[in-house]
Amino acid sequence: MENLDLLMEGFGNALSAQNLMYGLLGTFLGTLVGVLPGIGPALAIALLLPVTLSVDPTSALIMFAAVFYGAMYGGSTTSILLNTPGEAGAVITSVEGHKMAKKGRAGAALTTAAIGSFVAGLIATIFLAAAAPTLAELALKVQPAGYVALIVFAFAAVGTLLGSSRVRGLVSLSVGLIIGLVGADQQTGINRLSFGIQEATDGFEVIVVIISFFAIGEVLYYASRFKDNAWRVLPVKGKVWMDREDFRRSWKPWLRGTAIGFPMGLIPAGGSEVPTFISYSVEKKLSKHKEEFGEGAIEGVAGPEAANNANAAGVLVPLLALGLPTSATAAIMLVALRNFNIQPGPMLFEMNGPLVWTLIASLFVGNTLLLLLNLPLIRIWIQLLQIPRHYLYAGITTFGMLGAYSLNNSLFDLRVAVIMGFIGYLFRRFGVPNTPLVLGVILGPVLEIQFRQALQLSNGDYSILYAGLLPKVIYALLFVLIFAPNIMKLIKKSANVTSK
Amino acid sequence: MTKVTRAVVAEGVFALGFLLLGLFVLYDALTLEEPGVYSVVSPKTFEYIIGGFATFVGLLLIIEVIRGKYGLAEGTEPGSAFLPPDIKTMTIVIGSMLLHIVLLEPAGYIAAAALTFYGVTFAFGSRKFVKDIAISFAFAIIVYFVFSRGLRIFLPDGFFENLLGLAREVEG
Repeated sequence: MENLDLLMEGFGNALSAQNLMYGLLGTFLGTLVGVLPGIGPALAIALLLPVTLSVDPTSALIMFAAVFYGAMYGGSTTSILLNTPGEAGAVITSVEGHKMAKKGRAGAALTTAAIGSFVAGLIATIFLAAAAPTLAELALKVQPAGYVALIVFAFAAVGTLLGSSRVRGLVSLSVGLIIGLVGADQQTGINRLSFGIQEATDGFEVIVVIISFFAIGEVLYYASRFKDNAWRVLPVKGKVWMDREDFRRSWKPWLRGTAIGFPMGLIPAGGSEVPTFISYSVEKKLSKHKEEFGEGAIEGVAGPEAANNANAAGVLVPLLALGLPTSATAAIMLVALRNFNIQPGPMLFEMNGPLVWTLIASLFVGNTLLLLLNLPLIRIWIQLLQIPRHYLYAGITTFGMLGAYSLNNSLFDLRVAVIMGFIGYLFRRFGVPNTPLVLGVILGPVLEIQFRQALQLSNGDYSILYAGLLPKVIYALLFVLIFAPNIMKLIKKSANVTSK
Repeated sequence: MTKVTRAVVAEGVFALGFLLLGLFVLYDALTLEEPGVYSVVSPKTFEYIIGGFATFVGLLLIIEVIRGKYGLAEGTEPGSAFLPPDIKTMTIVIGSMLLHIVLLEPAGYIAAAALTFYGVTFAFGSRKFVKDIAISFAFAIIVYFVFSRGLRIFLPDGFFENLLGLAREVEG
């Protein structure tokens, strides 16, 4: 196994004393920020991006992988103790975990979440290491038209599957695509939507857009609902560890959650919401303690938490092999990797082999560090939940502005940050999901490049966009995906008619 | 007939604003200067596609709003009472951020960050002046040292940086 050797080399890089230090620092910072109420993994990673940018690529990758897992874990702590899920994938955890915490079983809930995340992360990363290079090899054969189809599919899936309203998902996607348009066209240098502003001709800095959209948007939204927003932290009473019975009831859900979460991350269908919900209903069906579900069943935390973490690792496969992020967190990772001059996609394993294998090894290391660091430190993290709200939001605002400025030392970026923050507020206020915007900003320009290449190959003949097997299959799936709810309705209607 | 409430008006304004954004992108594509040389696909093409798409989605959104399907604000339950936004708190937060932009380069990072931090603290209802100002400065100074000295990320120097810088030289 050639890849195994490369992975071992990656471990060699990741496990130097200096890099381990960065790994520990990343785990610590990731958990620290992720545990803060209202900060989901995507926002935590975005906020910590500036910290990783000045370190050398290998160390930065390790720190980044550690931040990734730390932020995920920190998020589940908040869900359990505060019932404020920072992202869609943690909603189920907060339902069942918060009930457990209310019954005084917060310690067991936190521990099963931590170990479940570790087990899922470990298994999923093994599959990631096996699947990503294979997929990348296959992807080398994909033509630009195939890429156009893949990106359109990812857009449609993320735009229509997330949130309560399909239309609002597409609103989010459109705004993202429009933001991606701003600035000089890469090929001709023609300025689009830049209003004659000099700084705007370079386009908006993607990291600035994302940091402010999440961070400043979050602060403004809470400011707007200031009066009715109070939370109460549940105390962790008794022992923190799980007992034998908890273990017996947890290990199968961990494995089943992993088996559900990982494959669903591979499909560019977006969102950890669906796999966590499936895992939850599977556990409910299989459990011998059905009556406990909704009242704080440990399986209902163990399964979805594992599914969520395995899903996050699964999403990295299309990200690394195709350059196609399908979650907000993956999209931010893509931006970070680009900043280290790593361009995810089919060529990645050939062009940046050593660095990518170091990244994958780092995921293992980060996952392990997380378990070692967090189980003993749970009580300290809980203290963080006691930070008064006004200091919390003041810190997020100041840190968000710092992140926006420090990238290019540009006041223009700060103005963009305030505007993006306001857009983030509007989105939350009007029930528009966040993720499609992030994907639109990042993948919009990629789509244009592939679209142009496809048409250059065909000399302007638009039929190339659906020539070949891959685009046809993808567009067929897309059609089913978008109209499935309508088709189901029609079938039901006609079934009713015939039965009458 | 449904009663026209503030929430409904807000929905309508949001939907209309979004539609206008889509139309504006189309207008921008229409008035774009003619590119001299390009290979096969003009930079206008993609802007037309996106503008057209956004306009189409904007129309769908307006239909949705007319049909009475409103966006559910994050963290609220269906059917819960709509709360008008707390304009005062929001204004102070936005004001603090704008102050940051104005002060950052002339006054230096520590002054700008401490004021922004304090402004948001004030907006969120804290009135412990001495403690809050002390924490604001402590936060700004720690961030400045970690980023500017530790991570070597450039941050503008100003009044407090010189003060602290001088103090360090005297000590050293």
